[in-house]
Amino acid sequence: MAWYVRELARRLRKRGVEVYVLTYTPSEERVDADDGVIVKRVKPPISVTTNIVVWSLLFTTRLQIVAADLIYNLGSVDLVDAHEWITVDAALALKDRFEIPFVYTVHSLEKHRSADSAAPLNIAIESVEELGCREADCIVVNSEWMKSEVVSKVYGVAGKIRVVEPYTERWLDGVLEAYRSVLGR
Amino acid sequence: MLTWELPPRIIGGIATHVYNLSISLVKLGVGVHVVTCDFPNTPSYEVVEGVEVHRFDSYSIPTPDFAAWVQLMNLNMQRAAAQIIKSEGGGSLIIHAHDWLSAKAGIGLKHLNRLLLVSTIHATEYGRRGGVFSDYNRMIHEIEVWLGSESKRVICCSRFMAEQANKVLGVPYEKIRVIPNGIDPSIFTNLKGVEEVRSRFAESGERLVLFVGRLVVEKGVLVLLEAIPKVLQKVDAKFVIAGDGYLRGEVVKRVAESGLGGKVHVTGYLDTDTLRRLFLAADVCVIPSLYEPFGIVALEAMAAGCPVVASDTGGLSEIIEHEKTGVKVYPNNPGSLAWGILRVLESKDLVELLKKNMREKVEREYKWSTIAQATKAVYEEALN
Repeated sequence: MAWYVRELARRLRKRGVEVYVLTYTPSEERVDADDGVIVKRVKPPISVTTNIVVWSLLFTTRLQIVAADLIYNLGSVDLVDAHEWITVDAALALKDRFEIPFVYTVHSLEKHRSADSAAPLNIAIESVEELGCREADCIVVNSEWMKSEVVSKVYGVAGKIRVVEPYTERWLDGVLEAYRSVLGR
Repeated sequence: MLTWELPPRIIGGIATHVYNLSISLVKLGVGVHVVTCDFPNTPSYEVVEGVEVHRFDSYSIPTPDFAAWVQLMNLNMQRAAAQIIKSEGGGSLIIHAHDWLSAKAGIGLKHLNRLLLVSTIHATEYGRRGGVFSDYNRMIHEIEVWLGSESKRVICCSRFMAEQANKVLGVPYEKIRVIPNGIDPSIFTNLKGVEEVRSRFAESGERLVLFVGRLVVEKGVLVLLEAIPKVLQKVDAKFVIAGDGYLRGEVVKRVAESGLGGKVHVTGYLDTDTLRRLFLAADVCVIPSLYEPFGIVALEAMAAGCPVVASDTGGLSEIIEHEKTGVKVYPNNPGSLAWGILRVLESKDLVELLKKNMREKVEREYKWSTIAQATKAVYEEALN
């Protein structure tokens, strides 16, 4: 996902799209520039957690705070592209507050990462994935197979899924079409 | 107002606190929305004595542990509160979060809406556990630190808690305001059936000793069990241990093993009506806590006119003036606790003095109208 987001952000920037990437850092928060893409590295508010669900939801609180500050400084942003369940909470908070369209890029699902596991941790993560799918204005997946997996998991979302194969000639245009679909332009 | 519990959902002391504070704030002209977890057979929206109560889906999907559930619950809490903020359309809004249980939502709402955050820290993980020993404890501790640092003002219910917030959580004293918990003394007036409740637990001629609290180590229930035989050597009495918790099985076992079965009732959780009558019926209420940020049971007993014997610790030390509004004993000391109980049971003059003084103290310092006035002042101070 790291390589995917970096490459996508760079290509978007070259196409004239202003891109800010908000991501994790275990050390002090800082801002980097990467081929014209502004990267804000965000530190979780706590140093110790007992599971990934707690960690992600506290990390995303800090993420939404940094994003909100950015939006207040910029005046507005057009959309939020949230990658994977781990960032869904932040995207929802920004959508609720600023009425910004929310694109949810699903790289994989919990049922693939933890096949045959129905432990509470897995079920909790699946519930966040489902929440993200329901609340997103558009869902981006990388294959028809992944689309069918999402559709089989969350009823009624097929109409807002766009299949965009990464690292191909159509990749950037496909993502931009997804973005335009939620912006209405 | 963000809270994970509100009557009829009552888990600890926050529910009653938020309920009474909210209603009293409304009476002072403060508009209050309470955002809280859903509960069976309660509406998602209702107005309770002027307070707008919003109940959200508290996330019933299985979660790995309590801390994970709390954060998922906060996700929905924040979303519910965001809609209210939007509908209010600005103005002098304040987010008031209660404990680490609503920290995530409170902090998120503060930054996304550029509002002020006031928090009430009812207790600390450090205090509840006697230190921070595991990753789980540290995680909660760090959330408390985060909440304290993000809050414009931190309300603590006692000077003891204020000191903990400063020393343990690093909250500067300039941000801390001490406002005690409150009580409505009228809940104990004109109650019928007090004798009937008393007769359920004690024979005529027997004294009645009451313990109310969660059956956990920090409430000192095991200390009480050691004190009981010492009391029974001198006075014929029955003991009621009301409340539930992870120690309940251990308490029942120790009562049986020590042959006190005929003298001690371990009742589990009691309904409010019965409990209030027990406060009126009992000869003494014991609070043998090892850790007590405030001690709401002491206030309830005092408001009911039931003499209190309490550990000289935490908030209890501030509520009770020794042999003026109660009797203080050494914490974690069964001998001292037995002495305190006997001191009350064997001195009619002292009981009369305590009853007079504690009713006056409750009226003077702990009425909800007084607490709400102080809280409103904190809001105004934060806004200014």
